[in-house]
Amino acid sequence: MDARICDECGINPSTVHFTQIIDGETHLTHLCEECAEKKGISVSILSDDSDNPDGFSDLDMDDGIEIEFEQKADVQCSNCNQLLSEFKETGKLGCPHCYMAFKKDIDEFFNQVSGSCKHVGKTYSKTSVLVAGTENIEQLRLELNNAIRNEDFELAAVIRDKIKSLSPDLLLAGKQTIS
Amino acid sequence: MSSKNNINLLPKWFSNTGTDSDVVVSTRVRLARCFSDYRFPAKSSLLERKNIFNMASKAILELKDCDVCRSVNFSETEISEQEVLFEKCIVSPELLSAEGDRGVIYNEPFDTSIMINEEDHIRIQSLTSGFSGDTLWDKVSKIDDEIGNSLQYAYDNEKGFLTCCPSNSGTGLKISYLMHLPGLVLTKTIDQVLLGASQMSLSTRSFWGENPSSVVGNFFQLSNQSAMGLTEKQFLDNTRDIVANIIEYEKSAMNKILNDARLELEDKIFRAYGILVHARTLTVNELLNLTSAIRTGIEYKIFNIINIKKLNELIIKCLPAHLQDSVGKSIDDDELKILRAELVRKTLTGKV
Repeated sequence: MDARICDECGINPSTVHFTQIIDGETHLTHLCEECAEKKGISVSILSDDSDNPDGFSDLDMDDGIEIEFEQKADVQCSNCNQLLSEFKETGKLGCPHCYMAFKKDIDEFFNQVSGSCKHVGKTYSKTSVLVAGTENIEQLRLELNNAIRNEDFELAAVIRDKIKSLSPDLLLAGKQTIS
Repeated sequence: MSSKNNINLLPKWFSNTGTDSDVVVSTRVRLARCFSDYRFPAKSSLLERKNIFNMASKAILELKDCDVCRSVNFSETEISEQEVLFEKCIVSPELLSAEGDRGVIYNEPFDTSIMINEEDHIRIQSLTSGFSGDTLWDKVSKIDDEIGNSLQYAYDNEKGFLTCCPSNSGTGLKISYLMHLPGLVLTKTIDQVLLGASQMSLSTRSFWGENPSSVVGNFFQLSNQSAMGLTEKQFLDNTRDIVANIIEYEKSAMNKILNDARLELEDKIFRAYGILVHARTLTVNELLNLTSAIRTGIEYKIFNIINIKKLNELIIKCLPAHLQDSVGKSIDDDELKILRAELVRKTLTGKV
């Protein structure tokens, strides 16, 4: 799935999300910066006639100060390449492994909507516990990195243990050790 | 497969034969399931969707003790036939607009069906006339067990059955009640009641309206909002209790109207009847709103011009795809309105 495209020009990616409530109905429009400005939607906190555009008045600073802000990395599912940002926008996931890749955000979602993130209903006995069902060490390693980046250390510990539990088999089979 | 076989069949859930079917027109229980080694439909490739469709169809057609036998692949079906199935409530609009191999396998009474490659890999549903959830759950759960035995579901001990939208995961269960609530609408207490329901975790929407909040025909659909955190039985019991209360509110609102404003009610109902038997054109919304009045008139014994089952049959026949299909060729909206009015006059009076 592509990142969302501007509703107006259909070319640039949309970065401005404009919500209007008219007669009780909510209209959500996604625009790129150019189209937003053309429509008169200000995307700047500062107004044009601010008398302090460079941050400090009366100082001789021609270029301002350039700082790069590191954006929080978008998390990606290693199985289907779905991005966390896609889930946040559409509410949909790409594959069963996304539940592990985006665990923290999904748990938050459950707590908000149903007050519980634990299934207590009908069980299914034909295996398929996500982590226990994944035998591929490479895939587990990718999930481990995701969990760490997402600061979900509990999940990271579970995956780490799973990788450890798989390694004795590989040692016995004479394959490469996992450090 | 020609849809000519379909159009004269009234879906059983609309047959007005169930308990309290004057207020709860029908109940539906649906389970959403996905398979473990595949991406969810929207993210999957066309080839994956083909494989899922073939795999799921095979498993479904091999079910024992289940009468689903008509299989339709929407990628090979005319849009007119897809729309007929949508109007019978066998498929959702999402199935029509999705791509690749997708479809539905259903039974002749149109009360059990399994959609393939809609939002989730499969959605098993069963409907019945009137107010009932438990027998539907047993039916659907049995089908679920069989499919889960021959194919591998995506399931996690903590998160339950994994679906495309987390809001369906856990039990994957959605219980929906289709309700006719003219009393609450007329006494202007509908907003209050629906708000109360939503505070008890039921989501509510207008059933016929294109817009979920625009009231058409006084038909509303109430469903559980979440599928996680309770057992299936708890979801069934909780929703049943809330709906039982709403039935009481509706009946008491109608009784109040009959006691305090009977003449005004009768006036509305007879005027609606007048329009239906004389109008030369009718839109779908007009039909739905006016037949709501007729339905109320019959149920509260104000008159007895037609039986409810025949009224429901008339409504289904007058929906756009059904009407279009009965003509056999493509006709425009204006002609549809004329045809609809003709069919209504003929059914209610025997004359055109």
